[in-house]
Amino acid sequence: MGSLQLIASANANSGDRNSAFQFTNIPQTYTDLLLYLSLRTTDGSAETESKIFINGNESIAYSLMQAQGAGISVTVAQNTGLSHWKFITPGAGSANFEFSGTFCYMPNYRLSSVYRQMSISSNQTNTNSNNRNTNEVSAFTGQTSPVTQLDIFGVSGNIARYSSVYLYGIDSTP
Amino acid sequence: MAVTYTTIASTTLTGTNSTITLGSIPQSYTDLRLVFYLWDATGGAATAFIRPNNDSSSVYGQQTFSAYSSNQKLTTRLANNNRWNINIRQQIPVSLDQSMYGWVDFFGYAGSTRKTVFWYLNINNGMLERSVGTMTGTSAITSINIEHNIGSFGAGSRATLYGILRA
Repeated sequence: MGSLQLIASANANSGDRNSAFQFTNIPQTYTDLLLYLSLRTTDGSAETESKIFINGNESIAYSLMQAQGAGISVTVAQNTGLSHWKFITPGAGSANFEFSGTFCYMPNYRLSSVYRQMSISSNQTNTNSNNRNTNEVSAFTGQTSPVTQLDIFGVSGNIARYSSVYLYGIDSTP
Repeated sequence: MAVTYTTIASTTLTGTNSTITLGSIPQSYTDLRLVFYLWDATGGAATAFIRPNNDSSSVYGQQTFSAYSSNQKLTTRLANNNRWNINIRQQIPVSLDQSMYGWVDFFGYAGSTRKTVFWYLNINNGMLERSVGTMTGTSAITSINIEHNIGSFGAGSRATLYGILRA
């Protein structure tokens, strides 16, 4: 058995989804967590955002440092006091084939001696050079509770049909 | 079914140490991934760096993009260096609970060609860096050192090496 184990997956193959992709009762037996996502939302914009939050809690303070690429430009921003972490995602205003390719890495997700952090890398094909198509995020929250639940949803709009997400556990034990 | 992602070795410090060594790396994988979680027990302008095979000759190059301090960005190029610097713009955090973390991907580590690596670094919500590194040395990588430039990493710092096997 390898060190990378699929915990659960979800998709919206049957139609647009008006509720979050939600992973509950995440086993507390791994070292790190890894999420792979292919996302699109029903928001009417060509480029929008999706959100991810831990343990069903949008009342704690989330913060992040992000770098975004749009065409030949790069912008950097730091956001604090958010109700969730976020990353770029195509919306309904983009071409039909455009979905984000996103991965999220959460180290030491169950250790109560460290804060919860997540690395997010989200990329999307985008035929409009003015829209963001690359997004690197270093995400942080001053919470130490083990992560037992992850929620993924659109910041605005629902999850579009054919979106999918896979949650993996990584065991560092040789 | 072939196992494609395997833990080769993992070290978690129980006390302070200036170096974490992952040695005797099997040559049977395609690529390697080194995941690190580090904090600084010394203070000051600390940098963590990597040396495969404990090679300290001037064979390393890197290009790093840094995003930091709310809206700053920077690209840094280092050539003919004697190591790969994991962090460029900001020193290592000084507490376990806010450790910096990331991973280094070593492509074709077991071959007799020049080496290419790519790594991610995150420091809570204060900085992110993305780097590509090259090494003109052609020896297969059999060990990897993670070192502190002026002091020690703190207890609880971790380095885990994974082997990735192609189908």
